Amino acid sequence: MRAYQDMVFTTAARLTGRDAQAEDIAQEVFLRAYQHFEQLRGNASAGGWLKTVARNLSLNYLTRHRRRWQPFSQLPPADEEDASAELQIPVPDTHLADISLEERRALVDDALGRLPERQRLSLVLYHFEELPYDEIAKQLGVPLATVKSDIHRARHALLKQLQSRGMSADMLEA
Amino acid sequence: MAADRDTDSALERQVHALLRSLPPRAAPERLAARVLEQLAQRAATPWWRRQVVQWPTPARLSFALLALALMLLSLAGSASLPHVTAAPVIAWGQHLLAPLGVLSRLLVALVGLVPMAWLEAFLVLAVLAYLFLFGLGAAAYRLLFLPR
Repeated sequence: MRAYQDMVFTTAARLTGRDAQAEDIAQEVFLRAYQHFEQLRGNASAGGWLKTVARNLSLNYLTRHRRRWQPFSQLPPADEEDASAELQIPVPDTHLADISLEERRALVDDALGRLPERQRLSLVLYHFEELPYDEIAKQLGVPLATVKSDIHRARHALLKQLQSRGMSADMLEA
Repeated sequence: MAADRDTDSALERQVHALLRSLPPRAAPERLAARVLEQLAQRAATPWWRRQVVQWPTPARLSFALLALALMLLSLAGSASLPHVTAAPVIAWGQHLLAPLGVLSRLLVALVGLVPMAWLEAFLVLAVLAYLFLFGLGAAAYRLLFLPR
């Protein structure tokens, strides 16, 4: 469990955007893993299994609880959310010329958390979970073109947010 | 067009490299303790209070056999009941429906007594009341439930 708990928690936290829910989901993942302990013990694909369960539980949580009255397919279009998202960009108070990997992770996670929900989900599923576009569209119940557009917008919004906090292009590529 | 594609592709690579380079977040310290506590709680739960799929195999087998026996017993019981013919049931139904026929004739007679203008006014009022309640419900839903 110790070997996988950070990965499972991170997956849930990036998808749900809430630490408390991510912790509950991580707990449920490991309880389910315990029920399949015999199959998972010593299995090389245990990590993949845990990640998939964490992802599915997170998406289930988002569908059931977070937008109880509004499925993903009915969330406001990204255009409408962009304006508010841009207003939320904080003015940098310091220039982060040299930051550690952990600080960079915190910055990026914070910037991800400020993206509109559907954009964040699509971006996380594409880049972190490495799901193809059509699978993301299926999981979120939105058209393929919407997924591509959301991911495109999310990348721009993310970079904009990071640059507003003093991360240069060089640092982003480092 | 091609330049835009190149820019998008470069952006995708840049974001991908950035995101994939990030270390995972540290799970809360208490997570392992919470999981172990839940496991201990589940282990302490007696088997008969768990889901049927988690029951011991002999208990599950016994339960299945008992369910089967009960099903067979109820079938045998219903087969041994004295046969009931349909005719009394139909006659009983006709008795039950007779007052309804009287009521419907009375209703038609009453409607015939009411002036047509009153009936129209009543219908308009009913539609307006329906629309008002529908609007009230929609407004309450938007105000109270729709996430902002």
